[in-house]
Amino acid sequence: MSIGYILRRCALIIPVLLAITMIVFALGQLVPGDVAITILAGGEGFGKFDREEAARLRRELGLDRPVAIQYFTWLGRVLRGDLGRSLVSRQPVSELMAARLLHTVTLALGAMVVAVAIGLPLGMLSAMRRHTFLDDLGRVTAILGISLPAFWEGLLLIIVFALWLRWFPVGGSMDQYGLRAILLPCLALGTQPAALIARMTRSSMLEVLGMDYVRTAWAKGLGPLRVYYVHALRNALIPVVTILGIQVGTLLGGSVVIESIFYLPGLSRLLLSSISAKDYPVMQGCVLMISMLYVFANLVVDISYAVLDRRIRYA
Amino acid sequence: MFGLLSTPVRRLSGNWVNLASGLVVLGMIALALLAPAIALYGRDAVNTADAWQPPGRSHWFGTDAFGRDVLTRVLYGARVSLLVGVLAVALAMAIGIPLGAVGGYVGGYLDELIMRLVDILMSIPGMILAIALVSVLGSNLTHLIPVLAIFPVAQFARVTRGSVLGVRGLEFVEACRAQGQGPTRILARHVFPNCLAPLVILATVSIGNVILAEAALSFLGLGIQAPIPSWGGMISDGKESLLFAWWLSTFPGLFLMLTLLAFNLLGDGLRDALDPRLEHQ
Repeated sequence: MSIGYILRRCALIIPVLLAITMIVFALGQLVPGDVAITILAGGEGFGKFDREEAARLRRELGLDRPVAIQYFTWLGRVLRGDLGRSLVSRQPVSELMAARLLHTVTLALGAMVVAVAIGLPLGMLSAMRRHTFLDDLGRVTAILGISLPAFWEGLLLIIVFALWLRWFPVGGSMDQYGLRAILLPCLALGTQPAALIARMTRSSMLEVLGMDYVRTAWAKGLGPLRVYYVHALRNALIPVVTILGIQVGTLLGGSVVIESIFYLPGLSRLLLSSISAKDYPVMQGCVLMISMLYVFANLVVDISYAVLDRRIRYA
Repeated sequence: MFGLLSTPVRRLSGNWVNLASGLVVLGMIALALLAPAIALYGRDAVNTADAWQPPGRSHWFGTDAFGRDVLTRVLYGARVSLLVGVLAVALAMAIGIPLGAVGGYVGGYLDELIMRLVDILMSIPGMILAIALVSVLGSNLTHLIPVLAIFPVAQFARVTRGSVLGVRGLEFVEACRAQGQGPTRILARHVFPNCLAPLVILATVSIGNVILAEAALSFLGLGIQAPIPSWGGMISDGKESLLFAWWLSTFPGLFLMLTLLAFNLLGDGLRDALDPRLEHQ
């Protein structure tokens, strides 16, 4: 596993991260209204403000400079960890986010674990028992899983397991309820990725099982355990890993609704509340943080893809 | 031209699942278009005397907190969802396909530039970008549809580019060039028709994805605003009363799931029918 490949792959994310900062900065520029007036007159801008005071504040905040200069100033502050302050609570944005980061990461990781734990065996079983009832059942389950909206599934899970059976709390963080608080959210969030992983695993396994070297393994008299798990699965997993990266994006995007339904104190819910409060610095910070999580997750997936498939290391 | 279509059509119609999903899609479109004609009640017909009715004879899907008929609102919600889905995907195709085709055919710097742009578009999770943009720009339809089209633009550009790259190296394209045909003509008349299959499949699946995204945005209160009914919004309205008024969230959710199921199955069927690899089996 050459260090050179890892370094090259890491270097590639720098332009992407820069582009993300530009998009996030542009988001801030698109906000309607004048920032200085918003700060002085309070949220809606209906309070009284002094025109000279507003002009002074604009100069102080550097809003009268060219956009490019504003961007680089902002970028410099971001690189030093200063994402500004919340317009509502005046707390540093980075502080607000730090507290929430772990919850969102746990949710996304948990959902990924659920997705792989359900999808992989389902897909393998479908492939190994092709054209049987189990296969049909697996495929129907998969297509239903893809079509089931995560937020609706979350509500249904709440009705059945939290309100009716009372096995799980309706909402709340892991600090209060431990692992039980995260199980239903991870299940709801992980269903669609599980279904996609199942389908990918099935088609990939079928392709691998049809290859000559597998036929040789059977001919040699090897048992199903060796053929399926040692020979077939390792190669079948390669295409599956490639879609894991995209799934992280789905998971992070879906975390917005899931955290909202289950009242989890994560980054995505902070994003939502900052939007309704028109707290744009916090919103920018959340978008930046979540996008960075996505980029790094993709980096991890790409590197593990190279570990699994030696062919691409030399490409 | 009909020769191109006959095999896929035969394969598509041979499988009952594909036929059924195609019929469901057509049925949804018909319901959506005919909603004003077939709905028994007005879309916004408030009738507080009839509020919170469970499903029954006069209101098949029950009524909501304002006495509005849920079935009527679900039908009108179908209009919004399908409209947004089709328009957003159409916009995405109009922008993404030419971008990918030009990049794939011309290659070089232009291709690199377009692909970097596409990578950047895909570097932020689609939902997060949509939420941020909608929060800044506002959530009326004129802003919602382009925002929902952003992620599909990148997808269409990538798929088109991949297809064009595959086709442009073929001999018949070289023959066209030797004949003296210009690049635009080659692209439009020869390369592009051979790239249609993955694009049709992507379009079908994308409509489903956009409908889901719009429903999620409306659920969060960032999409279609009241009083226009949307499935996501109706599910959100009903979530406070899940225990005693289960019908408020259930029926919109069922219709949403059915629509997504139909589009996904149709996409699957199209993939099976149009995939040239099946020819060799």
